[in-house]
Amino acid sequence: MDRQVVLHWFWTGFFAVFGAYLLMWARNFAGPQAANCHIRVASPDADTANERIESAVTRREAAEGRPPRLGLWLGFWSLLLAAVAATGRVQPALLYALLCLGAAVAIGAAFLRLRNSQTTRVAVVAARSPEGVIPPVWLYGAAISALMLLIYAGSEQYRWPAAIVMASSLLTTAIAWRLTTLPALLSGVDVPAEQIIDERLRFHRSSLALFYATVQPFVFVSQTAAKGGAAEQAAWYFALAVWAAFAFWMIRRLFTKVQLA
Amino acid sequence: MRNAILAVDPEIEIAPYLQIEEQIRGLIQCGDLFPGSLLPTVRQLADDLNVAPNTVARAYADLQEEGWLVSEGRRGTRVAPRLPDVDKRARAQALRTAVSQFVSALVGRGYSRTEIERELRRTAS
Repeated sequence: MDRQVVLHWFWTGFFAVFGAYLLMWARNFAGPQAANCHIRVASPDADTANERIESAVTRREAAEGRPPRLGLWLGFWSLLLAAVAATGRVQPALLYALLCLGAAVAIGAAFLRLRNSQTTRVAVVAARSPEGVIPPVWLYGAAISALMLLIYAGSEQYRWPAAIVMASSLLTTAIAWRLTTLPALLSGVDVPAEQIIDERLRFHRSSLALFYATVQPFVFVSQTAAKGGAAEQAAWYFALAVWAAFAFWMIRRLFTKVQLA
Repeated sequence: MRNAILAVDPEIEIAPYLQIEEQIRGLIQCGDLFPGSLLPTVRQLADDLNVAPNTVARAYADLQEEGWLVSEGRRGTRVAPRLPDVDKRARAQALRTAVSQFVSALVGRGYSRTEIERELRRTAS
């Protein structure tokens, strides 16, 4: 079968499945419950600790209010792109770029909503550093990975899709960095448990945003690397290395046990 | 070490920067904040407490002037390595003022003096 036809149906299916997945299972952007399911408490009295964590999550949900419905809007957007892709009138690379842009805008909207959800007035007097949430090396890696799409500047076919993916990846990287500095949201009822949820959510949200940022250039370059030259090959290897290494680091840290005081 | 916690109550009549000052001073005096401890940046604390950055900056500036905190420029603000000498009379006066303000605030919120006294005794015992 012709490669273009395969790509056409692959992307149509991808947009449809991705959209359906978001609509059904991932309507909210990293809500407190999503972060909670990865928490493993290292405590002799694990049952009590888990109850405290559950209560802290409930309080957090109440404090944040209605969660940002990132997945819902992005799901509809993806299904719309699937419908356009099915017609075969627009090249898949451009549709993929528009999906990336939609994701960046949705993550940005979610960030603004979280940034303004501060309602309580309790703070722990301890300095926090954004570098402790995500080491800057990952942000530099993501930014370089995005900037490598400049190799498509001379390509008639991929110039604009590459520019859109690069812009959305850089925007998502910047949002990931800003997510590391979100204010703490503590009620003061059980500060150690609330701090664990707060730190976990900050990490979960910022690393998820950076994961999206690193995957965007990788998937884009994957579309052309097989038939591309040395520059495309190098960009593909670099984007793959950054994405895979970051995903490995993120998953390892996500499953690290926490000690509840 | 216990978590050193700050809270700002917008309902009471004491200005937010004074509430922050009083609490940081209290945390240092009772040993919840050690000499040399790094404090949050003005921006971080202001965001966490949902107050204007100027409010926290003013509290930090006053505490630096009194000798409780030292600024290390871009490296941040720390609890002073040598705390100021607070004589017993001044300490007692500070406590009296703080309790008086606290009781006035509670009276303003509708609690009777008997209720407040009973609760204070129970908490202090």
